[in-house]
Amino acid sequence: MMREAGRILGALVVLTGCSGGATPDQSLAPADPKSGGLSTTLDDSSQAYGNSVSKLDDEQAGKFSLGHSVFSRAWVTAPATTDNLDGLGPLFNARACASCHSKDGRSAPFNASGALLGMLFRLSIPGSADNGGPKPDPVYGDQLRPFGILGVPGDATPHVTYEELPGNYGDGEAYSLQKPSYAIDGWNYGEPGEGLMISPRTGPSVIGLGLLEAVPEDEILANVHPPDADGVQGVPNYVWDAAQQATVLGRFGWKANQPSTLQQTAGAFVGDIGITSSLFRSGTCTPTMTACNSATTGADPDFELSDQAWHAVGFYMRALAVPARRAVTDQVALQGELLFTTFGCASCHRSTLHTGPSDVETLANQTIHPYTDLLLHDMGSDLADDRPDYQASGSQWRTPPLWGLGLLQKVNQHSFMLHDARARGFAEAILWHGGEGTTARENFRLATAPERAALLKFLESL
Amino acid sequence: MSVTSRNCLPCLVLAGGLLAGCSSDDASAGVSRSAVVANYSANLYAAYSDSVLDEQAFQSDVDAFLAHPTEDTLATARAGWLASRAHYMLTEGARFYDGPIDGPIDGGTNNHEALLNSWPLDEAFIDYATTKDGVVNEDVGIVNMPDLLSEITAEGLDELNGYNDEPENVSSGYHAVEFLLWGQALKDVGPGERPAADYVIGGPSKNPDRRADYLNVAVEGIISHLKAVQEAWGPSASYRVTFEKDANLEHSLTHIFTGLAKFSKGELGSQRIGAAYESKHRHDQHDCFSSQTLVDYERDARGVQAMYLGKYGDNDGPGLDDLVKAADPALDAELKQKLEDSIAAIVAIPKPFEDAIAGDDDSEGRKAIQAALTALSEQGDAFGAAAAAIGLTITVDDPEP
Repeated sequence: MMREAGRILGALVVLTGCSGGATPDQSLAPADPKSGGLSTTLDDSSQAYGNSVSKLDDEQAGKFSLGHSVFSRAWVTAPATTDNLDGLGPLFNARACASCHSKDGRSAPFNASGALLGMLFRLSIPGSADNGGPKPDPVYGDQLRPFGILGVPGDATPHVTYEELPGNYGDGEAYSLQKPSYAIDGWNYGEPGEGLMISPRTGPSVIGLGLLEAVPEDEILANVHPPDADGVQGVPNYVWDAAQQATVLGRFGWKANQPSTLQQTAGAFVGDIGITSSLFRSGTCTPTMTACNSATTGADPDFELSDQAWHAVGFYMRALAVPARRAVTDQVALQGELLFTTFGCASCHRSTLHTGPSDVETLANQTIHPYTDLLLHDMGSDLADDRPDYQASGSQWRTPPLWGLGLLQKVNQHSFMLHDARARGFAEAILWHGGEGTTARENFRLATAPERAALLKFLESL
Repeated sequence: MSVTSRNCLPCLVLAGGLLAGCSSDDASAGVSRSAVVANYSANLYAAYSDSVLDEQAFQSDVDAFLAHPTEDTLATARAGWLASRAHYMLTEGARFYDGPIDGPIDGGTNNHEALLNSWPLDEAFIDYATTKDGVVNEDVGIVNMPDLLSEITAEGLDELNGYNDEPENVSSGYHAVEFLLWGQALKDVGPGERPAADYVIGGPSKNPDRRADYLNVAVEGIISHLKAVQEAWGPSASYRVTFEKDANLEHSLTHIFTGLAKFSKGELGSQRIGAAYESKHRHDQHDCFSSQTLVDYERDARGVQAMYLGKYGDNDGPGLDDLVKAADPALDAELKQKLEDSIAAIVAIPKPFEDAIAGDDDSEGRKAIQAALTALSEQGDAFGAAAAAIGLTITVDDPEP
């Protein structure tokens, strides 16, 4: 099960030396702190995700300012006091981008009383839409909107319950995972379509997206390969680009189902907040939703989000810097990264990618450390949502970037991870890995306590 | 907002050369790091202390207004509100390093700054509001919705701040009070025109008693948050003692420079001025209801300058400038000039701000605003260069010149 056992043993010797009070082995070279190359910020405060990349020109700085402002703004029911910010809904998940991406990070999935907050549920029925994507539910469309403006009932109410699943590390130490069960009740517009599939997803942090967008397609596709000895492969998703009217490589979203930050932004505006744009001019009321269809819109005259605001938020998404890696000379954390590689984690969470040309100086031609390959991997039945999304099967997920994740607790005051926030911290996130991640997970689970601690220390330094 | 030094290679060389000298209190430099940090703390403590006194003075104006709500007493209260921010605005360069003002309270999601000075705000979350179609909705806002908050208390208002994870649901702080005094600014230019009668029982608006409770309690809330921050900077408070410890001086100075750089470029520049410049919407300015935005922005810029120079009120103590000057006199002179330039650029913006943002880019107002944005951006970058000159790292430098 443990490949490259020799190297793991080597790491263990050093760790034992440290914990025994001997002189630490200083042989490991410092790590590169510049996780985002020149688009790295040294801010490690509770605002660490909210920094602009440097060297923006005046026009770019202006876009960033406006994008930040619009990102934070709550949209309100039309007509409102402010004519540039109305048109909420009629159905919606949240009123502001920042509701689910608080401080440009990940909002907690639930509030103190257990009500769902920063989580949404994608919906579809079997089959494919004309563009190759999921086939929307005929009554509720492609996502559940629990809320509506006054006079328009929300779609339905989602619920989650958890069951604790006890387990043990190789050395006998106990752990427990919480397994979620989702239910949706109170459908306000009749029963959903036959064979409804739901996929729970939380909003990820929005740092470093411009860097990921600037990674040349060739570099991503170069990591596509047939299954290796551990069964790890990696496949691209190909998705519909609404602006180009073409099928292109997917990069963003939990299933790599979005081709660009600009489309992701417009998609979230219309899907999550109910704000139409020049890319998605139609609202999300389905034909049978009478109250939804007759509500006042904020369209002015054709759609609600000005192109200026849309492009500004899209630019803001691209121009948020990545926090620098910390503890770059800490020998335990550096050993942890070695283990990350020998365990097999780095097969998918690739440490290094390169960006190509960009209109932003500090995004162009950078060596970056996102710890992702931007490809889809089968993560096994425990994590599966059983809802295909373009080429992604019901058990495939895109490798999420890990940069900045060590600051999640500091920025967002929680450590919920994975697509549906079921994991309470790094260790549980690893222990949920299945499918192609099984070998890596077992290497972690069966490792010694100091090795596991070193790996976690490495992750906390990102 | 990250900043990058313009002269990377010289900075890096200087930083390397000076590290050893800077790590101890070098008498030949004239001023020690320890003295600079201590003076910074003392000035901040004085500024927050004055801010508490300002708010208490304003509270007596509010008491007088609520006792006898007339246009005259309202005018006095409005003048009192403007005066109440005179010292607080001078402290804002001390943000963005998780210090007492904006670090998480007890590890939670709130911080004092968010409860004191959040903007912009959704008027309809606080009180009645008029839509763009001219329809007044008197059933909205905490004032008119006892279901949202039955008894209006400072704690209750704090809990509702950011309600539903929406940043614009601002229930407490200076700008909530500003709205309660001025009301919505419905014209393109100029302040809101809330009548004093909004606070008169039997007057034209619903819930005058709850509105009065709200105003009263919101001012109390401001005082309590200011006091909490003031106490954290008190001479024997643990935060300050830790901040001034010899072993922490480099860390503290890094924080001080980070705050000044980020506040200059990212907050005052990008968010307070840049967003409104881009959107041309008056809602995107700091003091939308009172139409006094530029008064605040000038105070902000003067506060940043004073922090660099180690000045506050009558005190002119050891400043960051002394450290930078010892390392690189030209850079110190350049930064001092940029601080003057940004103040001058803000002063040069024609008032009121909402008028200046309108029009074409070659209008007098927009040209002046663009000049202020440029000045603040350069000032932020210069703080990065100055920090590097004394061996601190607050920027990511080019690996190659």
